[in-house]
Amino acid sequence: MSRKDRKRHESPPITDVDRIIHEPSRYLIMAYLYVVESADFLFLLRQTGLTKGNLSSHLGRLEKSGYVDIKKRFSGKIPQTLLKLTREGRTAFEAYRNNMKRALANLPRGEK
Amino acid sequence: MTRQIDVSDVESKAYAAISQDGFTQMLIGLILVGLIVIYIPPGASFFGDLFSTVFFGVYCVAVSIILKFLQRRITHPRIGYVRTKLSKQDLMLVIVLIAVIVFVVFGVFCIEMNLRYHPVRIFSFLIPLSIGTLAYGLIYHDRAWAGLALVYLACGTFIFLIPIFSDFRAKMVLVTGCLGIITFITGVVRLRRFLTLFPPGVKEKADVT
Repeated sequence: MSRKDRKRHESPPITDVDRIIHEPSRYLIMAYLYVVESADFLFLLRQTGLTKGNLSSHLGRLEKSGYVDIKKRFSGKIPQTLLKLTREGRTAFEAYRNNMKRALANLPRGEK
Repeated sequence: MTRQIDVSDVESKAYAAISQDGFTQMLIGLILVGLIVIYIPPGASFFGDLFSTVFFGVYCVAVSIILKFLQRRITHPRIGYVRTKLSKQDLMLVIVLIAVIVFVVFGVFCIEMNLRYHPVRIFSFLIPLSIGTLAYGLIYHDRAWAGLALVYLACGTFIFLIPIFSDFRAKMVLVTGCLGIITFITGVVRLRRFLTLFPPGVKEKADVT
């Protein structure tokens, strides 16, 4: 087995990729929360272009997995939902990106 | 969802969204206009006399509080609230910026111990201001700040070179005032565009999770 083949063999298979983050909408939410310290629901709604229900259900799923921390507070009389990526979520996101990079980089080239 | 998701692209979009309301430009503009007070007293030293310095400090705090309040009333209900973090690269940029400011201010302070009103003062003011503006633009992925930095340098140099005002203090007041007004107007233009993009009627009141 050549060195290149061994490296390809050691790389994580695509099936090991975190399926919670793999969903495009959730990946986008995680990406936005990854680049900022915290954001509220409205900011994510505006930036991701998702509907309220959709965003809400994805956030619920991410919270259940322990990737996102959701806190509710009042800004004057208006309720505000603050969202923050947990340490676990940040690590999982970084791991997902690395896994995907490796998995895609080691794919054999298709013939033209 | 067919668009490609790139983290650096997401970062620049998130940061651009934060600074699109123009309040930061307005704040810097108003601070520059307020800085005039320091140059007005006749016997003012490098940092101005005590009264003008205290007044300037209080003015800066008041302006920041007012603009923060406006941001909470205008920006947050429209695009949402976001708290940014400084990456390692940004932190380096801030450290370099502080070093440059300290170096220039300290250097000029040493010069002015002997020469109270020296033309170097204009550039001691312009260079850190332009570098700061550029650094802010780099951190927040906003190219408009690079343009503003160039305007600062060009405008400052032009006023410095024209022989209309022989009095150095008048030149300093003119430079500070012009830069402040230009920056404030840029902020107002941005805010108008922001309000056109997000009209008052389309406020998001519901906050669901």
